[in-house]
Amino acid sequence: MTHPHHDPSHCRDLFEKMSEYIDGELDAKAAADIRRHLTGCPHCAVCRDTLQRTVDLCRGLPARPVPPDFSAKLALLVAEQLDSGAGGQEGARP
Amino acid sequence: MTNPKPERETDKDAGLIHAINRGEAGRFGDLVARYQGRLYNFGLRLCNNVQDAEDLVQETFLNVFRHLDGFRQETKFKNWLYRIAGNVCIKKRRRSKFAPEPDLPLEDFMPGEGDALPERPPDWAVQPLDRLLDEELSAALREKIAALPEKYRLVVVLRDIEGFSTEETAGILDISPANVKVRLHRGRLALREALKGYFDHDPSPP
Repeated sequence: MTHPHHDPSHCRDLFEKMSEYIDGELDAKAAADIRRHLTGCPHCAVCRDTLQRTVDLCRGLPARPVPPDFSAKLALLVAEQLDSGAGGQEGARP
Repeated sequence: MTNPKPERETDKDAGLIHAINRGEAGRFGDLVARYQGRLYNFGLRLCNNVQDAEDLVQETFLNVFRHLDGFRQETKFKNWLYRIAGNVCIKKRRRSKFAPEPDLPLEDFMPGEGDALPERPPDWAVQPLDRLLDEELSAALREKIAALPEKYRLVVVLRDIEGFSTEETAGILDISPANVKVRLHRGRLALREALKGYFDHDPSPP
């Protein structure tokens, strides 16, 4: 069962732009077009909500602490590099 | 501890980099201390494997140490650092796998003709985020991010977790901003599908 305001071809056009819409990266006219459409099309509103929530979950993903033994290993690595004077040596450019 | 918001201020590392390049090499340790946590988590999100994340951090700092004197501050240090880390990750994968990674066609995520479409958002899209994002979901999300094909995973992690802008991400990965947007949208859609599956199969959703 589809909603009476649901126009598959228009919805598909807007579907392509939904990430840019939630990121605020569309121009004012395109953003207003989607905003207007969302008020009358619950299917696209659900699409917007679930995509926005996916982004929110990624942004809220907690960071994990660096294991202390690895941190100590890095400090040792820095000391070794400084002792060997390796800074500025030739190697594969990043 | 949550991820930082996108940064647009001037390079807060400029003074430290300048000091190191003027001869205070001992301060390289300050740089490592400042970024080891972020890089470690960047590695975990790309690989979902502690050993690979540690290798990525170590190899990235070794590259920074070797090439910092050539850094001209045409971009922020942090962006240059992530460019190196991204390249380390890509090279690592090329060494370990030979199969080409799949594309994620947009059509795969579009509802088909006649599909029953929801008119109300599912519970997981409306519950308070702090109640929803527990240990189990965090672990599942990490797995799902790590399972994305690499070109999408890098963009999703840089944009939605590390907080880089579209333009910064394009610079870090050396691709166009338009390409960043395409990969980000498809990566997000793939993650959304994976989350739908996770919640559909959860017998006792939070």
